[in-house]
Amino acid sequence: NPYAGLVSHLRASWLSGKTRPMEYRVAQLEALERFLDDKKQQIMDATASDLGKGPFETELSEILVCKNELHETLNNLSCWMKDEKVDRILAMQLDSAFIRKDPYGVVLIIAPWNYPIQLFLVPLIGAIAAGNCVIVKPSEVSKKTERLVAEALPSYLDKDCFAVVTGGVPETTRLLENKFDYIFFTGTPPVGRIVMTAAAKHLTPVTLELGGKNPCYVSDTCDVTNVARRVAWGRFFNAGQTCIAPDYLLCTLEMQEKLLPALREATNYFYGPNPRESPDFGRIVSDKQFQRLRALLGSGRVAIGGQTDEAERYIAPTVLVDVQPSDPVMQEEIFGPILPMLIITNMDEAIDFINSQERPLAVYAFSSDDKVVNQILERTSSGGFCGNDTLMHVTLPSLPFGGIGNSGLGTHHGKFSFDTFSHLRGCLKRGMGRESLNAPRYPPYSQRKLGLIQATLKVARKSDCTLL
Amino acid sequence: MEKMQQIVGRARAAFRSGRSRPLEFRIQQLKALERMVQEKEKEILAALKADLNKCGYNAYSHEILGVLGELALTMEKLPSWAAPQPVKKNLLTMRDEAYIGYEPLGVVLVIGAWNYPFVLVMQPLIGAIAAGNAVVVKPSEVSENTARLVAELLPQYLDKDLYPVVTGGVPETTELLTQRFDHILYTGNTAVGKIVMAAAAKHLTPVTLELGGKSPCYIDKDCDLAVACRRITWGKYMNCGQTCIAPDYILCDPSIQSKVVENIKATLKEFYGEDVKSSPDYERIINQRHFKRILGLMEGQKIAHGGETDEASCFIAPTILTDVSPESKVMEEEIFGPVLPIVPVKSVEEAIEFINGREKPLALYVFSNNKQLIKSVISETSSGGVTGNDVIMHFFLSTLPFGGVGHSGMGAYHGKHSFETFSHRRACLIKDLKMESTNKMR
Repeated sequence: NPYAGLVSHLRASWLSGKTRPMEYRVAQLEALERFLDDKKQQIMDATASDLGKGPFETELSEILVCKNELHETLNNLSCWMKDEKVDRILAMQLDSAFIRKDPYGVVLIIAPWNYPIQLFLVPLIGAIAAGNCVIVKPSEVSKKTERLVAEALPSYLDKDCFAVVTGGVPETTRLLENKFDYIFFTGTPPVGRIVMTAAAKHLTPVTLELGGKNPCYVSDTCDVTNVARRVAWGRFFNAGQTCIAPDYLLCTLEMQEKLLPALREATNYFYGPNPRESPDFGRIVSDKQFQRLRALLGSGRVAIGGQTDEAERYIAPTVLVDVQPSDPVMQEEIFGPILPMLIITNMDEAIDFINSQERPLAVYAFSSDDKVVNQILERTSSGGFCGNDTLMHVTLPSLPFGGIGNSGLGTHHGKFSFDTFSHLRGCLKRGMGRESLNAPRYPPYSQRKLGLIQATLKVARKSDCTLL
Repeated sequence: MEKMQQIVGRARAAFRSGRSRPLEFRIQQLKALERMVQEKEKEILAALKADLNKCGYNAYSHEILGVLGELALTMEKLPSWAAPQPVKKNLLTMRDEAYIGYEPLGVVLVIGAWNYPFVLVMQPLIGAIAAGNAVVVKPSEVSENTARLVAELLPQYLDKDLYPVVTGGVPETTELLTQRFDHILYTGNTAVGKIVMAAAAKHLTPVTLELGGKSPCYIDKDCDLAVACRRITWGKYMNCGQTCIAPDYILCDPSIQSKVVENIKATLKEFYGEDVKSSPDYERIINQRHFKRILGLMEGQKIAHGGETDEASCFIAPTILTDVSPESKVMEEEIFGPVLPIVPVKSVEEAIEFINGREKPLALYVFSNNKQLIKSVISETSSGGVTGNDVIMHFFLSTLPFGGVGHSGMGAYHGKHSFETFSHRRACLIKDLKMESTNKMR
């Protein structure tokens, strides 16, 4: 196996204990920040080339997000690393009981192409913070960024403990044959299955950040202008290539008539009358993705946008109406700047429709009526939820980011990253004395001994000894 | 036997009805489980006796007491565990509601093991019910009396559609695993753990795997040997060694090896009397297959104590092997029997290197008066859990997550950790539709 040597080298480094001390981890994390600062221009150029991403969107979604994670982690690392004391039962009052945060060992991070820096760097921060060695496998689809990461990143990090591996499907398949101690994968559900199946061979735990069709319900009682802006923003950011973008809209026919002009206005406000000329609107990452998306434009009827340019891989911010659930645009995660609108007659119908589909990464609900927002929240299931906005719930590092069912398993961001890449090890340290207290547990057994055990080990209803 | 698809389908329809979600319903089901354990105590103890020759007191303290404790804890804490957890907000979200909501996953599959057949099905079940799920329970067919009892009793006390029991062996379990679940908790061995995870991968189902391995036990020269050996003897030979967190083998300096043997011998006499076979407190090996397997492990070894067997009753005496070679068969697989190999090592560094050269175990034990040494052993190794200066006991503290790492498993449960394992933590942000001016910046 071409990667066996690399993996065993990293494993040897991990076993040497090099990555354990906090100072070491802090030094690596600080180097990551220097990477972001030194290579900012190259990152801008690479993402512009790969995705037509303008400097504003790159700054926000690739640089700022990563720096926030770095700072959050550096600010809290010593606290997160500490052994976490736990409450003890009566029999263990004199013992030391705590949860240790152990690194797993050698971690593999497989990143996708849509936020090619953020989606490898944020998990990498967590993996390093937790004391692991890491192999990063950036996406071969975002070619310029892949080359930048492969060439520049290793010189910032300890080469004994961190490596970048490049390649496509064949290389990734061979890489996955090796034994890792944790695998973090961001991508599509079918490939998620392949990764988890490969992980099962070695009993490697995984976090899978996948995707799905994120529904966006708009009730009849809402501020149409604000809704249109927030939805358009979430849909068209990064030319729609965002795993938590609102994928499709559910509303009544009445609301659609009001929303369409508002959406048109929002798009115009964001990108001007010809988005193709706006420096703020992105491009589709590859010809393959472009062809796929162009075909979806045939579903329903184009109400806004619809223009394309193959040479530039440009697809205009588009809204489709008269869409049926059976249409092609409703059969797969769109992952592009196309927003289909589906007509429903009431909220219950919307909820039933959402629940008939695979559980998505996010559910969005817009209403000026709190009760409506809460109904959608309570009666659906998804990775995360945002009421009256899109995307924003992932900007809070104190909220866990992850999917459920087909949209993924596990979470990360902030402390959740640190916990994801740590083995939480339950530890009990007892003294050698007071052996007489152990007497009731030893054979020969008797009713009397049982009574004593019950008294010391039990947890009674409404007991007062387990809180704080 | 009804098809798996129908059973799981019914459980899913029952979950979709929403009735397992209200806290009152969950607590009511847990109360019913509590009644079941209290009312059917005799039957449960009889099943455990039939399966493992476990005496009443032992069975009660290892299986029933733990279950009652978990039920009481869960019923009391559920409202606080299930409450939405507000989170720290930033400047942009200051006026919004941001919290983590705990929601059920859906239909959970619990696959039990045969060595503690009641508690290993009940404890996960309690957590899964508490989290609001439907639960399909598959007890181990190897402990057939307990399996039969669980299949009879659960439908008498719990909602039949939400919590069905499925019995059977490998073919039935294989068919069950083709169905889609929202979480699978499996307790058993590493080989089958891989099969379960591969089956789960097809549906992207998260798993908790409670597996096993060889849990090492390091005895330092500087420790109270009599106390250490008594504690080790208790943990090793309980349930006739058939405990996933039993100290599997001992690592110690050659100079104390014979003292260790002497102390364990003395303790064995204290525990089981002169004639172990006639002690009511000593169990039997679960079946012929495992009996023969363990017999095979003793071949060619230096038996310092024990070694007597009786095939007809699946009896294997508490046995100690000395000067065991790391390459021998008994050091290759989890023993899961009353055979204790001692592997001499010349230093704690050698012990740590030895442990780290092998698969990560479910538990790690270290005995020493030297606190620094204990600290080093823990920090330089990896294991599911640890007990210092004792064995097994970390299992009984439900505030500690109980689970493995590497080949010994993934995920954890017990107490609140069960609730969290069987819940989805949903990130929720509720904003105002007004305040649009702050959004203009984006």
